[in-house]
Amino acid sequence: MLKRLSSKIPQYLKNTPYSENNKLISIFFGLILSFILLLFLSQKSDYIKFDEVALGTDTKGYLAQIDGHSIHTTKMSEFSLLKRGFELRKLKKTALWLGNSQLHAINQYKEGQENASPILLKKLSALQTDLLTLSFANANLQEHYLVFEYSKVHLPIKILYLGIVFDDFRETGIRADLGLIFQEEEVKNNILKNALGRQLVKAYSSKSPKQTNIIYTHQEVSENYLNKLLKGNSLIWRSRDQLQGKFKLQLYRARNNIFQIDATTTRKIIPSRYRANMTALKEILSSAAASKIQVITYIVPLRHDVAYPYLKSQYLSFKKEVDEIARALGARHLDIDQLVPGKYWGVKNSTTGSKGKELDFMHFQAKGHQLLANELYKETRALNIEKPTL
Amino acid sequence: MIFIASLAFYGFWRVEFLPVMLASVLIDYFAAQKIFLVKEQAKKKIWLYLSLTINLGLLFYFKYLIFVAENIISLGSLLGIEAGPILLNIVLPLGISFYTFQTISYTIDVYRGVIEPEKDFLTYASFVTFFPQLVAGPVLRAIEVIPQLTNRPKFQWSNIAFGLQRIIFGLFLKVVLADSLGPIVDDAFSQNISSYGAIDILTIAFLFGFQIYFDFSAYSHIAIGTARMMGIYFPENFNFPYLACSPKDFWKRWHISLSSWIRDYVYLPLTGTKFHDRSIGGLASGTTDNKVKALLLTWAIMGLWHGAAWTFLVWGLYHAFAILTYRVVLKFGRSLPQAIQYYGGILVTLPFMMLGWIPFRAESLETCFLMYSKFFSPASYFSLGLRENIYLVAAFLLLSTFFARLVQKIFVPWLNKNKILSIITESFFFAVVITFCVIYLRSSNQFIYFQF
Repeated sequence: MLKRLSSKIPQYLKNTPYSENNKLISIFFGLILSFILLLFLSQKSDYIKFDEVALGTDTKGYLAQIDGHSIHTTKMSEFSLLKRGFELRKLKKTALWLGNSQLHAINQYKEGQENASPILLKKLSALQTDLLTLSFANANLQEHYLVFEYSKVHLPIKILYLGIVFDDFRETGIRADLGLIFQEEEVKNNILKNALGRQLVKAYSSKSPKQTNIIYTHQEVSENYLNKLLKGNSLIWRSRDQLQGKFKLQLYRARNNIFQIDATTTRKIIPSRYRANMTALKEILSSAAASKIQVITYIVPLRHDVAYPYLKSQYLSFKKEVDEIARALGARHLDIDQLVPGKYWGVKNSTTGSKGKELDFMHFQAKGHQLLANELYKETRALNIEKPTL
Repeated sequence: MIFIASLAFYGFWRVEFLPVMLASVLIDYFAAQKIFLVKEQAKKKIWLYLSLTINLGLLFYFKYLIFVAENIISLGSLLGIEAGPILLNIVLPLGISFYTFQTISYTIDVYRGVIEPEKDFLTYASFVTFFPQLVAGPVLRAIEVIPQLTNRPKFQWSNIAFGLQRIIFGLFLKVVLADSLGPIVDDAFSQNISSYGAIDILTIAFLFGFQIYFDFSAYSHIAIGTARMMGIYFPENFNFPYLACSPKDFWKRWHISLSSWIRDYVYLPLTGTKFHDRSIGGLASGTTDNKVKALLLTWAIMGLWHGAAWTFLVWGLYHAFAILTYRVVLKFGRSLPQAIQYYGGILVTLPFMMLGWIPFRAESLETCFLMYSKFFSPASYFSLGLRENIYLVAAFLLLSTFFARLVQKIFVPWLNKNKILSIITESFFFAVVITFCVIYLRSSNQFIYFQF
């Protein structure tokens, strides 16, 4: 005998874990409240540059220009501007300086002060050498590797200055801004020649921005259209990145508050990330040696008038390992972590969001930049650089 | 209208794959009619096998051909036979694993006499292509849905309310929770596994377990909610799976529609036991001596259904062994007090099920076994290799799971006794959830189960 289900809904399908009744009113009021909340939050005028939140209000990010052209950027998307300035200055070769926020940040900034890159550029001009600087907040060595490979293809690099930061060996991941690096075939082919490069391409190249000649599906076309329409007509929609960032910032501060984490909290190495960044360092130096690019690596200046927030054994082991790698791969290596005296450092906003200030271990004042530029120039003079002929 | 809307929905992704889906629909429509009309059992079987062959053939071509070809080439090279690289470029049609199983279950149900074939082609086609569940389930049974499509209910505001609630909740699980966990999990799995300890492996297994739960259950919530807004009742697909007290209980709570399907159309026929005709989850014990072999074969199929890779086979067999182990342990555990059986069961089952996600997510068998090997090395229990935040996130999610269950079991029923309080509390809840959904909504992250 064939069975047929009756037209009634089977009872077991109706046994849902949620109550069905009177929800419409709640949803309606929820929508209204949400709209009001989002509108209120969107209209708050404090725009935050999340990359520079860690700098705090006492520190300013300074990006120098020469004759209206950038010589220092924190965005890979502005690389073409750097290149344009280099071409107009008509110097035949350039140095490339890669680092983290220490390069672009000046603590206790005063009008007229400069950071290290324009100071060093002026000195290098005597050697007919330009200088272009790319620095990203918390940049890890894997990112520096990608930026270096990209820069090598686009610029006649003769010298590479590479700031090596122990803190940033805890970092991993490639920021979205660097996604354009994977779009260039020549660069990508160079990166794919080693295991690290293959891993980075596999993990991150799918996240690079789409090129303009790719055919989109109907879904993507309609989503892009809706997104554009909403962005053009809705303050709330435009503010979403800011709102998301602010929420994450509050979570970060809450975590710091709960676990009493601040600038002096000891940070340990994260083995997998440490090793990945060491591998990236080796790849940078090998690649530079193969391209006959002279390299000056340096352990970045740290505040040393108070105990630094690392396990001493790990930090010393790190410095030793970097020194060995640099020497083995033909780089000139400087350990200048004590270069900048304590009085040239400063403070930053509290990591817990409270009104107090904390010591800043990473960002020094303008005088510190001068010391850094002088030290690197001194080392550059020792390189076998072509001197200008009269 | 439902059929046209479903075709438009599917075509928004790739219109060129509509013919594949329609071919599957047509074949099973006619096959079912023939099975019903012919009198001889042998001829019924021929039509059934024809339907199965064509459907499984399509699935094999799109999903498994390259995998099989690659393995044949590898085997050949081991035997000294060199072959060129595979130049096939086959794109997997979205949802093929789901709608193929649906059409197969329909013809089998007609063959078994559970249901008469649907005479109206549009109704049947609407059942298969119904857009809320088309790309990632729940896997529907004809007996549950076709009558609802035939006898359309009257409009009810309670259906709209229920549906909207589920959609909002599903969106929150996906865009806020699952998509936030995604980068953390991706980063953890992309690092050098050899530097991880056992606790790290367990932690990232937990994180992926939560990511896939949020992602997949989100889709199910949205599917159930969308269908409900049209007055169609779908079976539930998840029921707090991480509060399962045994592997068997887990599969009554996780992807319920699929585990039911596998039980009724693969496992029970292999054991010779009577099937069920509804999606209520779990695998029955079976009564024959073949149940162990049936279990292993069923789980191998279940694993490979998820993906054409050896890691998915390992995942399936992991769960088979979990259930076999449970059957053995159950004999000794029955004498323990109920509370210990229940809570102790959760304590043991949860990490075991989470570790089961490792082959599901690992890039290769080598990575998978390397990760499992950590648990057999005493030294690896004393090193931690992840960023501190990651342990915090995993711990927070674990506690939240228990908290959410408490809220559902105790707080919500208490709240529902007072209408005004219920409306006020729920309004704030929806306000927060909707706010986060708006802030976090991004178009870039597909649902994980779209790849199956």
